Amino acid sequence: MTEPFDPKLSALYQRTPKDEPSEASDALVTQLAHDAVKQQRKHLWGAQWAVAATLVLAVGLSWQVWQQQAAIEVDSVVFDAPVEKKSKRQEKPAYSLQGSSPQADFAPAPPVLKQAREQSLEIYHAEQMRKRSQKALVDVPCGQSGLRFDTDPEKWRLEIALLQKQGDKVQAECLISAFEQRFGQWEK
Amino acid sequence: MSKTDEQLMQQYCAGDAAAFDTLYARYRGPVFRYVQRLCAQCIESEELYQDVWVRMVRARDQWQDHQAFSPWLFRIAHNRVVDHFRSMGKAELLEINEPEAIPGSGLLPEALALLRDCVERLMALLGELPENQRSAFLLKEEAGLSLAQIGEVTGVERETVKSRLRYALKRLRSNLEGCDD
Repeated sequence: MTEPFDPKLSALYQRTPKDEPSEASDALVTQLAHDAVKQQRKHLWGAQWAVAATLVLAVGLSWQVWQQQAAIEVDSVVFDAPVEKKSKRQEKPAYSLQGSSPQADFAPAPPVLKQAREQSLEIYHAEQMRKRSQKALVDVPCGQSGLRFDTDPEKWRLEIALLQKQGDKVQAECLISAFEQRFGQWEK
Repeated sequence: MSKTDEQLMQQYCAGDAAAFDTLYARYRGPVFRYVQRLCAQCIESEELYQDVWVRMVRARDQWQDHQAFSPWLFRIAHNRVVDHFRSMGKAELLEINEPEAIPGSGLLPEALALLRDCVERLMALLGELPENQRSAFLLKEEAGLSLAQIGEVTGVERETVKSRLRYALKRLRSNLEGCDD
């Protein structure tokens, strides 16, 4: 099927005025198109920076966590592991401390290393507890550590009476003040 | 060797502003004349023209590599004019007009041999064509699109485009007697 076409009419149409848009329109359109590309680049750069920043942060955090874990393992094995186990490890360098590397962490943990990890966790918790109790001692009322967490007012009364009997007025007054803060009015 | 429209469009989508400049230089005239002549009585043709390019820039992500650029661009232009007609309460573009007598075309001047007169008359006749026929004619002459591509742009079947184009040519020819020489 032929397309409707009139070559003479077409030639005549091609002689019609070649109207064109104004310079203002040209400038406006071109500017808009260029701005759109700039905007696109900005968005692209923004996204790339965000991805890079996230990666750096993730790697940094992973490194820190790994270092902390490695430090705990080192502490536990160096100070707490039995001597014979240590010598065994030296015979098997694959599980030795010197060989403790990120690659070694990916290998299945042998029983010795598992035990060492458990020990290190126990030590870590014990150390935390010790630090907490040390801090609590600093806050005990009037240096009477035995009364720090005691909720029995009778125990307090006995302690105060003992101090008064010994003539330690300052300490006794201090405890009376602490008693009043906890249990209300002090009755002689 | 100059790059194809599609290659330039690919480059522009990838962020090459210079590629757009080349494309724009190629199509600024045809798109302008298409909008201006399709919307013959519009005083806002310059604004409509700008809108076409604004839409094109915004829709650049929707353009696909395998897609022919010219029909895509002219579809944007066509839709912009249709939107304008709709906003003005005109819906002729949506109808399939049957051939009618063109008013005021009965008298032909004696000096048809003068090319200038013929061109002026052609322009006037174009303005009097039903809009869907005018659109088909302009897409053929200005954009150089095939029947299938015109159908793609205007959203009708190829056969409908063929019919519209045939009616348009018949009307123009019948009122341009003497311009053949």
